Amino acid sequence: MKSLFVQLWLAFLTVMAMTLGSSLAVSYANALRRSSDVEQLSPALIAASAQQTLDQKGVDGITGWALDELHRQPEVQIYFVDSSGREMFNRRVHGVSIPAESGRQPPVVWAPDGTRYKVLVRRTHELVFDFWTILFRPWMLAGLILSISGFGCASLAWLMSQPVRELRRSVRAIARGNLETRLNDRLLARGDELGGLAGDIQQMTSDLQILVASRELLLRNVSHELRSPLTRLRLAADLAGRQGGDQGPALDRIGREIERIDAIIGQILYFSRSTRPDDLAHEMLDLSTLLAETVEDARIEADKNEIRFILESAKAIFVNADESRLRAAIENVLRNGIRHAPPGSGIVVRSELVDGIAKVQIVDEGDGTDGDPEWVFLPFRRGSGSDGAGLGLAITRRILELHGGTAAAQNWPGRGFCVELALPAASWSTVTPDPVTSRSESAEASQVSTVNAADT
Amino acid sequence: MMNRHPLAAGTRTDRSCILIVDDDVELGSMLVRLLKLEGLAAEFQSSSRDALHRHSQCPFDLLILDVMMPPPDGLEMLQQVRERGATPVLMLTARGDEDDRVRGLDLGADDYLAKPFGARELVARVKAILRRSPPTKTESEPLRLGSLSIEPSTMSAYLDGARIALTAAEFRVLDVLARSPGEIQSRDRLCRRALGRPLEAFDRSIDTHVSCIRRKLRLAQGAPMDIRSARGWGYMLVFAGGESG
Repeated sequence: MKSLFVQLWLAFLTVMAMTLGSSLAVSYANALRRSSDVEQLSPALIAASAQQTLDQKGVDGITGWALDELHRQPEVQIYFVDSSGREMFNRRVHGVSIPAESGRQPPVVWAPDGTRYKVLVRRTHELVFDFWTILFRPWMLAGLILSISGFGCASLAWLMSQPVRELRRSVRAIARGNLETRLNDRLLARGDELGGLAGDIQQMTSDLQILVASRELLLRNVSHELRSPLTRLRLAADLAGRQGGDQGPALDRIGREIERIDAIIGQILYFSRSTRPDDLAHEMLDLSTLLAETVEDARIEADKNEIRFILESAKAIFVNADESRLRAAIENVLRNGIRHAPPGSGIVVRSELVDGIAKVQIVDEGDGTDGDPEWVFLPFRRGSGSDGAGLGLAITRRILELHGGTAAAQNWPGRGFCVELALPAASWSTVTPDPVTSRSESAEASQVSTVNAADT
Repeated sequence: MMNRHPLAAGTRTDRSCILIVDDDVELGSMLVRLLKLEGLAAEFQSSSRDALHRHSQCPFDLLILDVMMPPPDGLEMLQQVRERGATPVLMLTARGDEDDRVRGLDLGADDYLAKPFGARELVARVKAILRRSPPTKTESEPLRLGSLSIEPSTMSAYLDGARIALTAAEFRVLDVLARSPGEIQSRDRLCRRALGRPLEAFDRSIDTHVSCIRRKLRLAQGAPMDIRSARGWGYMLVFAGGESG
C-alpha cells in the first residue's frame, strides 16, 4: 500500500529533481551558445576595440577591458605580445589560436609609448561550464542536492500526512464498533479542512451512537412486546386443548406456528446483537471440544429426524474466540444440516488444523442448493423446509468474520452439501501438541467417535 | 409422598404456595388458572416490590420470576430472595437471551424457561422443582470424599471443613457427581437426576451449574479434585486423594 506520506514525498522529490535538471540544462545551453559565438569572433574587431581603449585609458585601462572581455567570453583569452615575445602582463600564452580573417595579418595595437603589440586571440577552453568543473564530480552535487531535498521533502510530507494518519486511527476504531472513540482534540482544533473533516466525523460518530442505542432499545422492546402476546397465545391454546374436543390438530398447528414466529424474532434479535463487533470476548478455547459439545447438544434435535452425527474430530485445536458466539455459529450450521438432511442419513462433522487455520467441516447428505451455494449465507433467504427467518447461516458467517475467519459452502454432487468454517488458530496451538485441560479428554478426543445418545 | 407435600391440593387453603411475578397481568392470571388445573395453588403479583414484600411476610414454596420487569427486575429480585434463603426459583427468560439465562443460573435460580413456553413445559418444570424440594432424605446418606463432605439433609457441602454456598441445583449436581467419582455421568442423566427433567436440545443449564461449582470449589485443572468434561457428553468428578485415603 502506498501511503500518503510516500506519495507526498515522491511528488516533492520529483519536483525538486525536475527543477534541478532544468536549471542544469539552461546553464549547459548557455555555455553551448557562447562556445559557438567564439567561432564568430573577429580578431580584427577585438584589436580595434583594444586600440580604442589603449588610446583613451592607456595600458592600465586595458586590464579592465580584458577582464570585461573575459567575462563576456570565458572560453577566450586575449594576449598582447611585443616584438621581443614578452606579453604585456607577463602571462604565459596558451590555447588554440582563432584564425584571423583570410588574407589578413594578425592584428596589432599600438601602446601610447609607441610599443607595437601583436594581438593573439586564443581559445583557452573547449567549453567552460563552471558548474561541472568546480565540483569536478557531477554526482557529488546531485547527491548533495538530492539528500538535502530528500530530507526536507520527507519532513514536509510527514508533517502533512500526520493528521490524516491520526484521523485514520480514530476512524478505524469507530469502524471496529467502538463508538465511544473521541477524536484527538488537537485535530479537532485545527482550522483547516482536516480539522473540519475531523469535526464531521466526530459528529457522525455521536449520531451513530445514538442511532445504534435506540435501535437496540427498539429491537429489545419489539421482541419483548411481541413475545408477551405470543406467550399468552401459546398458553391459551394449551388451555383450550385441555378442555377436550376435536380441536387437537388445529391447536397443535397453532403451537407450531407460534414456535416459528418465536424463532424468527429470536433470529432477528440475535442477528442484530451478536454480529456487532464490540463486547466480543476473547478466550482461549479448544475448538474440537466446543464442536463435540455442540454436536452433543444437537443430538436431541437430530434424533427426532433420525439423523446421526459422525464426529471426526482432530486433537485439540486452540482458538482465541468468543465461546458463546462461536457455539451459536456452529449450532446454526448443525441445525441447517438437520433440517435438510434426509431422515436416516448421517452428518459428518470434522475439525482439523491446516497451516495455522482451524477448520470445521459439516457435511450433510442433503440435496444442497440448486445454484450458487454462497446463497445460503445471505440474510432473509430461506431454503425449503426452513422455519426461521433465514438468518441462521448469515449469523454464522458474520460471527466467523468477526473472528477474522470465513464461512464457505460447497455442493458436493452426489455426496451432499458441505459448509466449511475457518478461523485463525491461536499461535501456540501449532506447537503445543495437546495441552491437557479440564474440559478435554485427550484420550478420546483423538478418536473418531460416533457417540450414542442413549442414556447410560 | 404427595400427602406429605405441602403443595398437594387442599392441604394448604390459608395461602398460595407458588408466587408468580410478571408485569404481564393477563399472562399471570392464565398461569394461575393453569396451575390450579394441575392442582397447584398459585398467587400472582405484577409488581416485583409487592411480591418481595409478600414473600418476606410469608415465604412461598416456589417463585416464578420474569427476568424482564420494571426494576427491580427478575435478576435483582432473585438476588434479594437468595439473600434470605433457598426458596426455589424458576426464571422466565426471553429466548435468545442466553446472558440473562446464565446470569440467572449463576445467581442461584433453580431452572429457567424461555418465553413463549407451553403449558406442559411449565407444569413439568414446576413439578420437577417441587419434587426435589424439600430434599428427600431417602436415598442420600452423608458423604465424605477426602476434603469434601456432603450433607444431603441440610443440602450443604463442606470443603476442608468450610461450608460452600451452593444453590440447590448446584448441590444436587455435585451430589450426583460425588456419588460415583471417576465415572462419567452423561449430561442427560445429570439433568434428570439433579434437575428432575430430561435434557433439551441446545440446553446448557447443566454446564452452567458445573462451571459455577468449579468456581465455588476453586477447582483448577491439575488439582487432585476436579470436575472433568467428556467433550460435551458428560461430566465426572476426579478425585486423586480419595482413592489413596
